[in-house]
Amino acid sequence: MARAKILLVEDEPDIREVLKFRLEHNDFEVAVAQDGEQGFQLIEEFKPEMIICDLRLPKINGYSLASKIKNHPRYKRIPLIVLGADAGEKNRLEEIGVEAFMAKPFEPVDLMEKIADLLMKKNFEEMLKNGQNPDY
Amino acid sequence: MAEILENSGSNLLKIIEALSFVKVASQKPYEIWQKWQEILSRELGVSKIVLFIFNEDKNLLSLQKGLEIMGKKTGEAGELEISPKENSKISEVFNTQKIILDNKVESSDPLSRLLEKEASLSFMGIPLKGQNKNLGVMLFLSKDGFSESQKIILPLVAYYLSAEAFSLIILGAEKFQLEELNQQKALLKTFEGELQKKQAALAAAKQVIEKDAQEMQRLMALKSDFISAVSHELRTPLTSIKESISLIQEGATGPLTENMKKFLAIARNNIDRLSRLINDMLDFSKIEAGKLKLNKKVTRLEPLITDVAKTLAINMAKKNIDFKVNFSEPIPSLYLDPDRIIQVILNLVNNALKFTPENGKTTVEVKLVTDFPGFSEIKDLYPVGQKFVEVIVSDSGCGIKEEDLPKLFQKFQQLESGLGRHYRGIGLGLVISKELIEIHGGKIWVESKHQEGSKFQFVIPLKEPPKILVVDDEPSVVEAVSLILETKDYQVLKAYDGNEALESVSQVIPDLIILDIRMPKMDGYEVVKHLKRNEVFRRIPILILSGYTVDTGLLKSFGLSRIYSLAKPFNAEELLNEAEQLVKGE
Repeated sequence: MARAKILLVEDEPDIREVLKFRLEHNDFEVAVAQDGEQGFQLIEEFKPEMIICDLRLPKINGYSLASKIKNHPRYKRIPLIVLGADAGEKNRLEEIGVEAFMAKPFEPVDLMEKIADLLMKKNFEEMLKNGQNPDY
Repeated sequence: MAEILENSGSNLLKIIEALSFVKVASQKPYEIWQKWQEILSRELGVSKIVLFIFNEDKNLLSLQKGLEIMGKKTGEAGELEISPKENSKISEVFNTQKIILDNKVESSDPLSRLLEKEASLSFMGIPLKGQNKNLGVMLFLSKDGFSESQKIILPLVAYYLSAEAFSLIILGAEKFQLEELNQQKALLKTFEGELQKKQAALAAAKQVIEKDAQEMQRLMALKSDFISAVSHELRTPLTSIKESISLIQEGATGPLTENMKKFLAIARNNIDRLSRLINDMLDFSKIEAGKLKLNKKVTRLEPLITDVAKTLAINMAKKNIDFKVNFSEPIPSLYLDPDRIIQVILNLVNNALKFTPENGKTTVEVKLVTDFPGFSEIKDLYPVGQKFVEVIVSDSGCGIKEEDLPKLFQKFQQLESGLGRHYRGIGLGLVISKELIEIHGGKIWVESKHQEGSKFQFVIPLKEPPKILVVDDEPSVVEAVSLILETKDYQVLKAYDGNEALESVSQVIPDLIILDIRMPKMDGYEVVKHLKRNEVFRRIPILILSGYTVDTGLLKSFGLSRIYSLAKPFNAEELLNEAEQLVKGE
């Protein structure tokens, strides 16, 4: 099975770098974008199985990007994890259908666990839809 | 006699002329009266004129003192009032309507009080007659008695004077009334002015206070925004530091020496401490700015606490602390903000962990209670028989001195004495916990014995999960919806047509109605129409569930201002999301 593809949208170069390293270290294929606009464009090209984006982004902010994705007929099923500073943002994002919110600075382990959970759930749902039995 | 009359006639004309001239020359009543007296004194040797006017209302003859001595209040009655029934010369003249001449006023006569020394003078009392009634009495006093000529002239002068006096009195009274009125008006104006001034001052003060309060709120909001911005700025670098350290710690970058591991662990711990501080600061500033909002959900406390306890147990084990979590009875589903309640529990248990020595003991106990210390003071806030969930976190730590106990939950309270340093790690956690528990309608407190341990406890009122009425004529839909709702512990009520729905609502008011439109007997539109007509039922939120296009215009015409609807087939997540929002009233 091919490595799962994750699109990481983060304007902060340091965070981008460490997260990319961690994701690749955990055997994911990673594409990075520096702002919301670039991030949205990359979805079509890269076809990620999961998107991780920061809440504060240049050009298109994380909230707008999230609602654009969650209102898109094809993209809306891609699990989306939003990284933000204020835990109070969680409700607002969950309301537009964002699967998970993580307040910075999060536990690296928690992020990896969340990614695994969401990917598993997505695969499970797709198999159900395709009438296959999930092999988990 | 003819001579007297002739003389008197010319005399009278002369006098009247003089008297009337006074009235033209002067305008002030008391001056006029004085001048009249002077003329009469000079021309007729009259030393004093006294006028009594009959007051019908009081049935008294009142001395018109004002005419004599005052100018301001013309026509004001003086102190002397004589009843027509009294034994007085004035009454006699008034009652008999005859001119009376005498040489002396008896000392028993009330008139003597007015005249004093002049009481021994000769006087002439003349009745004053109006058209149909007796108006009063005029009295002339003379040292030398009255000549025949005077006896003829004086009554005529009296009539003239009384007529003039009445006009003066009436005029004066009117003028006085006018003046009085003006004075009162002026006074009123002053009062109004005062009142306006005071109101203006009050308004100004209010404005100042409001402005202060606004300014205060603005500053609080500014501070909260500032802290939120700062904390964001702090979080970003913390995230990359934490990630970097973790990557190295995990060995992702290569093997580590023992010393490397040790110092990375120190760095990690302090990063975590810094993160907690930033979180607390953010929460605290939100509390101060009144921005802290709860996200209540139907929650099962048991798995939530058990889950948290698992991670805590690892740290407890490091200090070899005997750590236990006890549920003394099954706890029903609660309606609360799970993240915030866990935050409180974490804060309390982490404190316990910090202050419990190695090989010590820490327990978390969860139970249902109907009473707790201090409940009697606040019991009016809750319905009778209100149940509470009580969470007790106890440790065998150093305890807290009694005098320090009340300070623990207060803002900016640093504990004094040597213990202060030990408590430093507590930070704002307890203040935030107190706020979080209180906005859940609960109470938090601590019992502690110095050197023996502490017992932090909180209660929150048991709030039943929201009730949702599911209405659909297709039983399988009702079943499916109920199953989905029950996964989130909502209490589900079921109805299979419009009539049943209305009956169910009249028995138990639900927090939400999930309503199908196409139903036999009574359809969904009819149900909405009936609900919106009722003062109580019209407030129940409605979620329309329909396989067909919904006539929103019709629903709006029944008073459903905002329409929430889901098209069949719907997905479970959408349904739960909508239900949660509507139950919350958002």
